[in-house]
Amino acid sequence: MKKTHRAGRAGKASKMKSNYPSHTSHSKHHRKTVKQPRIPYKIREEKIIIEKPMKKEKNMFEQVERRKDGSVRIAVLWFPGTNCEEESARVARSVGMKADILRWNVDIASLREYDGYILPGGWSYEDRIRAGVIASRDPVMDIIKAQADAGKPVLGICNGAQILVEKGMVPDTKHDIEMALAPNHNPLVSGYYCSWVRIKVDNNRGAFTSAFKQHEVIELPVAHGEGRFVTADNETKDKIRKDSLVAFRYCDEDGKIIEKFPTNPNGTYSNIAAVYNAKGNVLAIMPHPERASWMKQLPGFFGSAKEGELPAPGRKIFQSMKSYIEKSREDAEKAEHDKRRLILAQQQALARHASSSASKKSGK
Amino acid sequence: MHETEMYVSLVISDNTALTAANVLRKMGYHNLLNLKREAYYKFTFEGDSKSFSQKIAKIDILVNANKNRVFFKSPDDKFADARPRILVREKDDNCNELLFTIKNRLGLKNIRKMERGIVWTIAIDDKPENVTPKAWEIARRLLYNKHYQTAEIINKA
Repeated sequence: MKKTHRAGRAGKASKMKSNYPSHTSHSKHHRKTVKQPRIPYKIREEKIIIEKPMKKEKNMFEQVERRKDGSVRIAVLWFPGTNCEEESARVARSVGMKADILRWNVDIASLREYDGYILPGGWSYEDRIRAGVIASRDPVMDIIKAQADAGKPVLGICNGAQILVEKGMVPDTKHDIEMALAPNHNPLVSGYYCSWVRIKVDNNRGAFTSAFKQHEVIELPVAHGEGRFVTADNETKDKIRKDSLVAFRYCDEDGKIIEKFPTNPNGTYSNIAAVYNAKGNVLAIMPHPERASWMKQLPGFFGSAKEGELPAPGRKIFQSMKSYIEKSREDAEKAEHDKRRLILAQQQALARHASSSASKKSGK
Repeated sequence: MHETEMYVSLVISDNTALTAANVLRKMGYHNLLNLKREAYYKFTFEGDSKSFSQKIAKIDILVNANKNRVFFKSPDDKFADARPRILVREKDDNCNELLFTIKNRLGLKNIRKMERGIVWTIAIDDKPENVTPKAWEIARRLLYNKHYQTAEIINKA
């Protein structure tokens, strides 16, 4: 009698591939190097000291020597209440990056080995006190911040954007919390609002917008109750304007910036939909690009299943992220190569000088 | 014209306050004894204070009798204890929608104005002269964002 496989049979490992680190799967084939803390949580609390100054991170691409296959690895952070980690990881993989979904209490040493980070959307810590603030005070965010200061790209989507703003990682012109994502101002709906909107590329020179043309208009969905970028600091406003830190602005179908609902869905300052940090490697974006990365996700799509698998505009943000990492690696390797050549040239010059001095002395 | 303040707290565990206290202890505030959170409403109204208080406490969009406890205080009165209290409000919150509902749909037409916010009561084990500055520091570092909220101490230690 032919044996059939029954899913969920007691004692047998599931054959479904797990997107999560090995502690969530019993399959020995999917065991990865990510370690989970084994000490009880209570003891961990006493050992955590957040205010200790972080050691200066090495240049991000000194780690590239260890990775022989040259792949780009992204960590997708998963806080309690985050619910968009799967979609974000899926899009990151679709552009050729390797994406691991890591819990917020992951081993810190393993987190440093990634080339970039994504903070997905959701309701981390139930938006307690205000959206994103509890997650922003988590120890893991100190590591993410240190990695961003070392040059690694960090993408915050919706709740991820709220976390970045509350951490002070955007716009980061004064190393302080310079903005807030405040509750929506919407004449139709009080609180949570979801709809498709259009956004226009305002700065295509950053880590997440290089794949776009300047002033390109794309359609993405928004779904949030606190999406209004505000700042009480006039210096920050000036800096955002002068340094072109706004990555995307809400616009109408012709690309016109109209500071009224429905073009501006939440009353955000200057129609800001996404803002970079001063270095251009950290982006806080309120619309969801991972929900507009395949044609089948777009409203009004009635094509075939095959056409539905074609890429949609949201995917360009992730493509830009990959290009940024690869280009930065090339630049770092070139700089390293030039440095070694210089050292070698200096050593050769010293050796020539030493040998000519020795020959002069022996000639006497 | 009269004014009254209404403080609404939970009779069940307040997970938001517990989470905030946990985060503050991890941030280094090990002498934080307790953190309490209450919804704050201030009403300017006409008529008798006592009957107004009885009516407003029955408005179920403000007070859920099964989950909340409520107490009233005049703005000029002091609190019974000396623990610092921080009132956090949104800068451009004029309560128009809520006021419209209370007046026109729920019938309390004698309200002229209302304000709302969150009051955090902070209990710290420290010297009396350090308690209020510490409470203010806690508020600045976690409990409010100055870019869209205001905070004021309404009861100093």
